[in-house]
Amino acid sequence: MNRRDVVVGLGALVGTGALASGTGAFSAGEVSRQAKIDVVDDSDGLVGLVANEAIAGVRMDAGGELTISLGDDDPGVNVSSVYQFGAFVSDGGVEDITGDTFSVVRDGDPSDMSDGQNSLESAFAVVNQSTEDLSITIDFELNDNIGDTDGNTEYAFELQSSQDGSGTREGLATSPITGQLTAQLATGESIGLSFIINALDGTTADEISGSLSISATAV
Amino acid sequence: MERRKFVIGLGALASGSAAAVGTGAFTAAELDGRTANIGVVNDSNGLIGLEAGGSEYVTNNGGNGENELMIDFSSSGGGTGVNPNSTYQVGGLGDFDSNNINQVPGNPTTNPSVGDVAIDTTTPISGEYAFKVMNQTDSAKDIEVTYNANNEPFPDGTRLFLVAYYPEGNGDSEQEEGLAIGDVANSSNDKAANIIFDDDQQYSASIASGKQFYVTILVDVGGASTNTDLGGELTVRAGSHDEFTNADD
Repeated sequence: MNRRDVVVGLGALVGTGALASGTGAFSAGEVSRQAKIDVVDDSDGLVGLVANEAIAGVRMDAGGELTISLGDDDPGVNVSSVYQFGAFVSDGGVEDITGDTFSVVRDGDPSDMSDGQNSLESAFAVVNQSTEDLSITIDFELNDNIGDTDGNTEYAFELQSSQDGSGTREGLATSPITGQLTAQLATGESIGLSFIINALDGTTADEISGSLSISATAV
Repeated sequence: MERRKFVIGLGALASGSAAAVGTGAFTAAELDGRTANIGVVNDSNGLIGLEAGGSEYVTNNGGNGENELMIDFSSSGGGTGVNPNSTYQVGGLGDFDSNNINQVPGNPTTNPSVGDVAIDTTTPISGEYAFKVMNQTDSAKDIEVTYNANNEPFPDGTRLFLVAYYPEGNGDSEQEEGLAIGDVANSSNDKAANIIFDDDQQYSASIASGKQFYVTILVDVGGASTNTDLGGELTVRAGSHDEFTNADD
């Protein structure tokens, strides 16, 4: 009986609490949570842009962004020369550019990033460094001024993919071009880009400029 | 008889403990064994529930107990952050009105607006979101979300948006909320600096019992250099909190 009385007392206490819930089950609450968002070098990004450290002119700039710079303040491509930056999957379509004496350096899977810089043969690579499958679209725009100069520098850009352990030529651009490439990349898979510049008939005024933009969507 | 007084004392305690002590109806009492059930639960089961969406960058594995909502733009796939000159968006903005999205967060608009910065305005936010905030009580609740950056101000051109969508709101302005951190035109505007759902404020609705709002994260990195910390602390306040922001004041 005594216990029961005590329970009545408790019931009143609970009733007070229930009254409060008429205006809200609690009167105020607050929770704080952490957000970690660091800006990192392109090479460490969730969508990584990794320059091949062994290739001149392709590097990270002071701001941590991938850049390709040949000429201007950096060593450039000599007149009367052929330079290749990064390996191609195929030499198809570039015979006219490389001239008679230059053979295209080839590699079966140049944008392979499975062993980082050791396995990378492309000039640079776009790598999925997230754990989600990404649909990656690369918009590229290449322009030159060669029509305005007396020179006749020629060039070829090859886009390569590395998926399931094998390399594929995804595209070849041999003239001023705007294009788009889409590929689906699992974690660690990548798209690479390599290029050849033939300045055998070039002049020092010849310039090629380009830009890439990359968009990625988790799928 | 002695015991009966004891019970009366308890009744007084229930209606107001200070009065009970003042009358001195008893000098001491102890009651053992009552149950107060105040369970600490993981974020998704809280009265104000916080639940991550499907992205790997927002999880419910944060905090020491690995049971708190956490935003972390890094990956076991090797990526450790966001690239310079890039935009990252976690969650869709597909439900937003194409005009009103440029009024988020708050008015006057930020420049550029959420609509300008967004890179996915087609995927519905109710299907893909960074996280959602759920009112799991039996009554409507005022809820606000604020973000205290570890390092402010952000560099020029760098912005972080948290964009919120409450499907039950009456019209775009009650459904669509947001906050902006960084290089925005009106960061001192409380409406722009906080996500606010509160019936007592203009263009805002309290979150009904059992309902939820969705949040998408938009990071516009701009020219921020490597090692810039855009992280911070997310605070969710609910109810009649002393520090609840009133943007109308």
